[in-house]
Amino acid sequence: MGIESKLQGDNIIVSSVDTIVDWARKNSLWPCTFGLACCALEMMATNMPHYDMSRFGAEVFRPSPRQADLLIVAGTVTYKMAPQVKRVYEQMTEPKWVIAMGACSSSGGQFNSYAVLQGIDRLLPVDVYVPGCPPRMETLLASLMKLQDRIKTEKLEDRV
Amino acid sequence: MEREDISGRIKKIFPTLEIAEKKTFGQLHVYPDLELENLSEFMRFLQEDSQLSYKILTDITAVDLNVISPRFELIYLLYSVELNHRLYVHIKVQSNESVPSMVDIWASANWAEREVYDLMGIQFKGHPDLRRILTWDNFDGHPLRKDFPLGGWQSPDEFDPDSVRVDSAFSGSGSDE
Repeated sequence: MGIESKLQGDNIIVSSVDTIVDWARKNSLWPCTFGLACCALEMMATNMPHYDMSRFGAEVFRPSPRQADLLIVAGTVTYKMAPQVKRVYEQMTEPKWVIAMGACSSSGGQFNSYAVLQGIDRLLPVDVYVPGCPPRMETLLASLMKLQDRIKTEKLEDRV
Repeated sequence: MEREDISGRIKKIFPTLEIAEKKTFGQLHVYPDLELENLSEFMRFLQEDSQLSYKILTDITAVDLNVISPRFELIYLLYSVELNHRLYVHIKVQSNESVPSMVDIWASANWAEREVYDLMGIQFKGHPDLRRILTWDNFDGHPLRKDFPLGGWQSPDEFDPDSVRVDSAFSGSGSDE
């Protein structure tokens, strides 16, 4: 079973470095626990057995940004919290990706006020925006798959 | 002690105090006509009296009446476990007046008063650490006042994350103990 069944004969595979590295990266995206508000609960629920995120290799949520390579900004980003989000993002090591989960982190959501940052993309580069308030778990999984598709086409010189 | 006797008990101990009452939806709202210096004495009586015993201060909130003077109405939400009764005490506060702090009476008044100060701008005398709690330290204005615009004074495009000072979160008393 698994990959051994595909290997016949001398067991030599020829591929490109980009393909192998991208395959490894996209199938082991480790998110950083960054739940800010209600979307955090949906993110936790996506990790639970019913809508399992560990099927995609993303079950290990690392509390430390240094050990994570995916930042899922789940929840409303207030102006007070914004510098800390930026700090966490800057502490992550390359390669790193950002998913803006939910309406609040994509664009401020329903809160157009003195306290809410109108979208985390004003501070960080976002790879995938997930609409919804909160997005369904399948939507978050679809966004993870979309990110995986994007990682599949990356070249090594894009990321150090 | 029955719940109907509560206002009678207050009036018995404070006979010269004019207290208006409203019973909306079965809740007792009390509007004592007090000078602010005497507020601590009144609140301490409510907390310490063995028959009333409002030991829990659930929250402190305020209403901005903007064009009406006195400008603010400060509301204390008290709860007595023994009587299973919630009392709402309404106090009128002028625009630049400062209210004595209830921190010595109820410890939960600490953050509740900080929230009222942050959002409405009412000062509390005798509060050990009166600083902003929900907005950041160098925030300009008091958001829940009626004359504060919803979007704030700055446009969302001009936001600079380095300008947000939240030093108090990492400093302050107790961090070196």
